[in-house]
Amino acid sequence: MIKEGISPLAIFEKNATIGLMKFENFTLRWHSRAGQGAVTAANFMGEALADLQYKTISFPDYGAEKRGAHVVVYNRFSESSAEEFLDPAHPRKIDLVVLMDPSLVGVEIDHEAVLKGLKKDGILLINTEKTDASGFNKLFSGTIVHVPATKIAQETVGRNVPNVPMAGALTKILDLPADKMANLLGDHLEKFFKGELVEKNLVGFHRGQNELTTFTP
Amino acid sequence: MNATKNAITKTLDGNAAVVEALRQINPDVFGFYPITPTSYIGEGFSKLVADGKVNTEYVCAESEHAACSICVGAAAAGGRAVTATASQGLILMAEVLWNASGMRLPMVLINGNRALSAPLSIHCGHDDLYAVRDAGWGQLVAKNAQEAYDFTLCAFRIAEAETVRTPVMVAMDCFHTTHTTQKIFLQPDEAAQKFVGETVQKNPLLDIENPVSYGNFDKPDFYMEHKRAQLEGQKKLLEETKTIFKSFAKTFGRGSESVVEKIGAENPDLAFVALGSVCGTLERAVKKLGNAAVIRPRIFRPFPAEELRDKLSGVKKIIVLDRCSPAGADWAPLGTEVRSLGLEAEIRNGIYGLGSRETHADDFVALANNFEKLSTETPHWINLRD
Repeated sequence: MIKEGISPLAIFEKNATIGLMKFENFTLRWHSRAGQGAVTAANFMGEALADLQYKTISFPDYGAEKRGAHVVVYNRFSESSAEEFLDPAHPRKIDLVVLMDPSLVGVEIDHEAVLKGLKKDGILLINTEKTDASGFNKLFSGTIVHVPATKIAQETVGRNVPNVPMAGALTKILDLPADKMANLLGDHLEKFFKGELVEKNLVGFHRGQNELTTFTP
Repeated sequence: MNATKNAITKTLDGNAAVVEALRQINPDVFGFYPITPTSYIGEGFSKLVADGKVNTEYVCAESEHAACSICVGAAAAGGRAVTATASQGLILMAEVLWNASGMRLPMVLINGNRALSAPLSIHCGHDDLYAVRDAGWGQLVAKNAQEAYDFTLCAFRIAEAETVRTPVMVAMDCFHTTHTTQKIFLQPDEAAQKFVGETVQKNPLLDIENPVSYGNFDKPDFYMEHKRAQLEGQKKLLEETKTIFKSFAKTFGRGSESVVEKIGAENPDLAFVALGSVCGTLERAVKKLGNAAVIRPRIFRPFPAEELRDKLSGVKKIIVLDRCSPAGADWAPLGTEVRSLGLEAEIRNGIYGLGSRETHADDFVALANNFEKLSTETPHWINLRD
């Protein structure tokens, strides 16, 4: 569970009128490997946030078009400033980085590339069973959150596709309405799968929300 | 007036938006060979075929050349035909493109503007679009997923118009548009179908009561007349596009009415002229600059010279941006076109974003602020390493 007092939620301001977070060009960058479902997850987050009446955009930055290759995806959510949304240039100021596969670090990319553009008071969400910040705490003073998304995916759907638990973790971190998000995810997954697999993914989504730990030095 | 007239909102990328338009249009034939970034158009559409949502004849071809040839055959037979491709696929189709336009076949092609090899790049460039600019097709260039949807609905009507009978391609930027997911407006099926209308056949090959032949040999005595007659169709294509864009905006209560969109200051000192998705970035740049505007042709062929002259009148400095190397010419294609308009303004040519090299609003602001230092002879390459 996210510990009281150091919750990343504190950096957001509640919007009283709709009871949701107030996002102004809130930007996420995902680092993943092709096949782990980061693009699908980012598109789902975009679709879901759009349903929650935000302006959203999501776009991938493919590398070598090969399974296992490094893939970067961006999400941006906002309530107002529309002009940012027409800009297809890759964002330079990042509020939250999702590291879907820590095995990228030191092989395909270095720590600096993961943190590039991440605001000092931003959030780094790492898919890991460990809680040691994977060496990022020396380079980054913002909030580091761990979620064992691969472990959850293996235990729920039986494959290393950590995208749904990661979306669960994001739902918690961004304080999005969990029930509504679960419904939207169910609808989204039904486009691809049937019955049992949708249920298993939803279990992974809930576990992603509940198995977060924030790094404490 | 309701700005969106009963529109349905969906969160889709450019490819999926085009698939939605094609589902509504339900064309007779879709000839396809997959290529990044438009593979999803075939993937998504073939699912609609399998699910019985459309009754299109979906033909998996063995190459892009074949895919386009299938559409040419279908269009000659009197059917409504469509294909989708990008980059190497488009230039492999090149031979067939000239055939489609020369035979006045109103097919539609969706292109994901992608850089050409070598070196191999799967990212954005306008090389492919420019490479076939003289193929005698209409080239509508979308800015985002919304326009990709809108233009797909418009394209069939434009191509099939009695006076036009010329194929049209709808071009959107590789990844920046094809894979960028945004909330967009879709018209309800019935309204979209009513707007596009039924296929208008003219001299169909399958009308055996009135036999015709296509693709004939032309001797020196008539080839020139036929090419001149074809040019009339292209001229009418521009007129028809203006009419259809106006009709689209009136019917659905959204979208620009003009073939050249202007965003920014009313009477700008400086204007950027560019095609496609970069105009989103430029809109931010001109906001920062203040007395500046983006002038965006929404059609590249036929070239909307008159409208550009009108929108650029009174502008003192113009920067024309091309996502393509000049490749031996003094300036890159759009730059050359704008320079030939005979404007009084000072004009510079910028080369940006080849293979999706990142270009930000601040880069364009810096370019505008350094206008006097830019060469009048050769294009300035933005964000190029030394």
